[in-house]
Amino acid sequence: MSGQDQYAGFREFVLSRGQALSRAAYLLTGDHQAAEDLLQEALARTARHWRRIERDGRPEAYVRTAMLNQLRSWYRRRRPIELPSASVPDRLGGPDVADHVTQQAALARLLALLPPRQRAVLYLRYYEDLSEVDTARLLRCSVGTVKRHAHDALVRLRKQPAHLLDSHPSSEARR
Amino acid sequence: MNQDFRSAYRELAEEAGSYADPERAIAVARRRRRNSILVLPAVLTVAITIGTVLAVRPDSGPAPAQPLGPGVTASAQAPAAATPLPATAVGPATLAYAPCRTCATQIVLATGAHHLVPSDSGMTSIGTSLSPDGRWLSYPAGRDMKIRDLTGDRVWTVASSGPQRRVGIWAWSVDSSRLLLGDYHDGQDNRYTVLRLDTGTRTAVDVAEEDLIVGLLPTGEVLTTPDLLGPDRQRSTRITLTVGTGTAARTIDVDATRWLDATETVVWHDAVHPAAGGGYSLVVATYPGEGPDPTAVLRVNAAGEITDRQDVPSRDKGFQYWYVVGSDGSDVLFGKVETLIGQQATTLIAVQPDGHLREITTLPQEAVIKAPGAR
Repeated sequence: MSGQDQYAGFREFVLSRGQALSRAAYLLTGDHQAAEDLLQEALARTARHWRRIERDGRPEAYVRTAMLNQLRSWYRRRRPIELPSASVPDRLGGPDVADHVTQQAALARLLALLPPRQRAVLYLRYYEDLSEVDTARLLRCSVGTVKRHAHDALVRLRKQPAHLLDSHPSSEARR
Repeated sequence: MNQDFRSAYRELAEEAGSYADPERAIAVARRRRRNSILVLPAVLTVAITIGTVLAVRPDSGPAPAQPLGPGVTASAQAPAAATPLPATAVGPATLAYAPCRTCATQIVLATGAHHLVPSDSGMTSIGTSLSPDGRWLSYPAGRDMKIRDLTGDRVWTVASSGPQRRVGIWAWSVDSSRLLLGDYHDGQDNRYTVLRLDTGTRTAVDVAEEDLIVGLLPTGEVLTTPDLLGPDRQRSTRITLTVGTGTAARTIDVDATRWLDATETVVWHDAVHPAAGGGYSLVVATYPGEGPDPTAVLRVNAAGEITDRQDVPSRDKGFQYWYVVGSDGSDVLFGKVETLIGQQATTLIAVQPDGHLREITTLPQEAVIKAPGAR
């Protein structure tokens, strides 16, 4: 089998699901450069084992899992994610487009400042809609740890505009 | 539910760029494949070195490796071919694992044969577990849980109590006579029952929501600790174990102060493991830290007195980490995960009661491992 043929399915998969995976990577990092690093690393691992992964029939799940694993490796190495700015904007308000864009940027920046584990919990709980139990099992930690990470993350994110997080974080963390 | 945050968070996802570049990923994959071939001698050297470190203990000889089966010990790459689990008796299993989080889960029998765990979702690593003696296999079936006797033909089915609820596994008793199950909704509102595996009878138990379940005793009593892993967690050199619930509960205070250094704590998840014959094993972890980083196992007798400390080997934390897999009531098992490119693998290692470390098997780095007795 030629190299071209070997990766044909991989190319097709990336072209069809690349944007969805990019969204996941961005939420897991809160930073465009880090998201690219994270996703490319996961895709490289996926490409290396593509024949087996293709045979299993769940390549997207494999890439998402690889990203979570990589995030954990970064966290284990205490690797800092470089941010375009270390400052956190003050509370913002107002419904216009400029405000909205600024708020999104502020949320992304705050997200990037969270420890990777907290970002992983937010992603699994609020984007993948996993339960606390399933999140804990995917991250190999206790439900209590998931609660704590969700709680800690939401407390830090409360520095965002009030309308984004208008209820007490602990009420969400107790879900 | 905090819908505002959820909406803002999901909206933020739309800000993502397009980061996926298949050609670059393929180029990296090809380069790594070439490099992995070139570094094979170095990997072997590291493996021999690690084996030596594990074998050297202060007052006894090296512990022989006890492979679980020819298919498991072969490599960290492709798993052995697994076939569907026959409906007939197959004998006890020594391990359950999934090569990756989204891979099908398989069990390894004492004979070395690999069989796929029945699945209706394709993902059964969550909820799959083995009793400490390897005789009973639990696996989810929809929202229910099945518990199958691998040495016979009995299958207990524990049905969920409602359409929005699921049944999960909480703990096996170390003598493999009982299983603690939870019937829950989104991780909350747990209703616990203890299943007697010989008769199939179930007994409801009340566990306070603020308590953390850490085990089940052969008497059917639930072992709990205060849930100190929440937002207010802090380092602790003492831990209180509570045996049983309600007015019949009794507590055991374990003071590990003189067994720990200033960077260690006995309070972390997966820290407490009931031991066969009474007593407990406590996993010590570093503190402060954002994640569990086990450093030792403390052996505790039934009265709560610590009788021994067994250190986990030091390692390069940049490229390796350990996590607790579980305990069968005797050994405490850890997964040693190598993250360095070219050496990526997870090795299952047992800390034995006599202090020896025993390498059991090596699996793919992303493997989800369910050793007998582990939840």
